[in-house]
Amino acid sequence: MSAKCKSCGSCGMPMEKVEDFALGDSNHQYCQYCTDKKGKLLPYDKILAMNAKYYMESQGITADAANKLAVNLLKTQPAWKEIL
Amino acid sequence: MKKVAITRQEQKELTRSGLIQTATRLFAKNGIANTATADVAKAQKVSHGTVFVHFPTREDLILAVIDEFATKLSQEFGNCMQQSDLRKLLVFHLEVLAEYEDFYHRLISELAHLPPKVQSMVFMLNAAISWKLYESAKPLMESGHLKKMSQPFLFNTWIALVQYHVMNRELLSDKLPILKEKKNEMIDHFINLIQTQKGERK
Ligand SMILES: [Zn+2]
Repeated sequence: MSAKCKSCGSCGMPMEKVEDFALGDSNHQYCQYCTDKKGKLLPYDKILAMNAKYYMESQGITADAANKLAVNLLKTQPAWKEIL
Repeated sequence: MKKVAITRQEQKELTRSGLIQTATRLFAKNGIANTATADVAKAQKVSHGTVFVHFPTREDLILAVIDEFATKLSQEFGNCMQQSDLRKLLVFHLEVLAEYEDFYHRLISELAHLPPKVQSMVFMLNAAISWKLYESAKPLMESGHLKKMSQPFLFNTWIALVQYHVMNRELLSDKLPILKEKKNEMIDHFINLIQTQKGERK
């Protein structure tokens, strides 16, 4: 999002430490959670479900509402803008 | 040649952060929905096109402001997480919010009418705070110093206290930011609520 601080091109999470990046590589465009062991981007459905779960567990947001929040979160991210 | 490129990049950064500062001020003063990117251009004395290069829509500007205080929060949290001190975490949360309180007041008052992505970002930021809070509270729940409660209720109790005070800040405090004025009282009260007798003695 901001020019200074890198954020994951899939979920938008700010990436500060090297561990935050896929494969621990600070040049990677995605975060460790959005990628598999080889650094490949996970399918959209998985990432959507992961983010929805994060909303639900942290604040007690209902499944439907959490799903909507996650859809709107991912909608404008570089990784998903094209396909959605 | 290379030097010129760096200077230009620096100039771009300066313009960008200047726009964010001006936007924060105008959002706070006139409301978020009432502030257009054109207003920000006018106040900053740049062309509308210049604003557009950095922030094509008002949504991008709002997200940039949120991003700024989210970054501050995560830096402060990062510094204090080694010892995972619950009280320190709450202090940092209130201190960063107090700094942005005029904007935060508008943000939570107008949230239901702001673009969906903004709502998603606000709740994502809260999700991160909720995890930090629960991470530091969990061992204390297991050792019997804090009452056992779920992560959502722990966080929602705290954020309800914070947001109610910010929403009604003119009624609840003579001086602003209210989160600075009431900081210690709010934190003491919250810790009192969640701790057990064993925790009190400690
Ligand atoms: Zn990600």
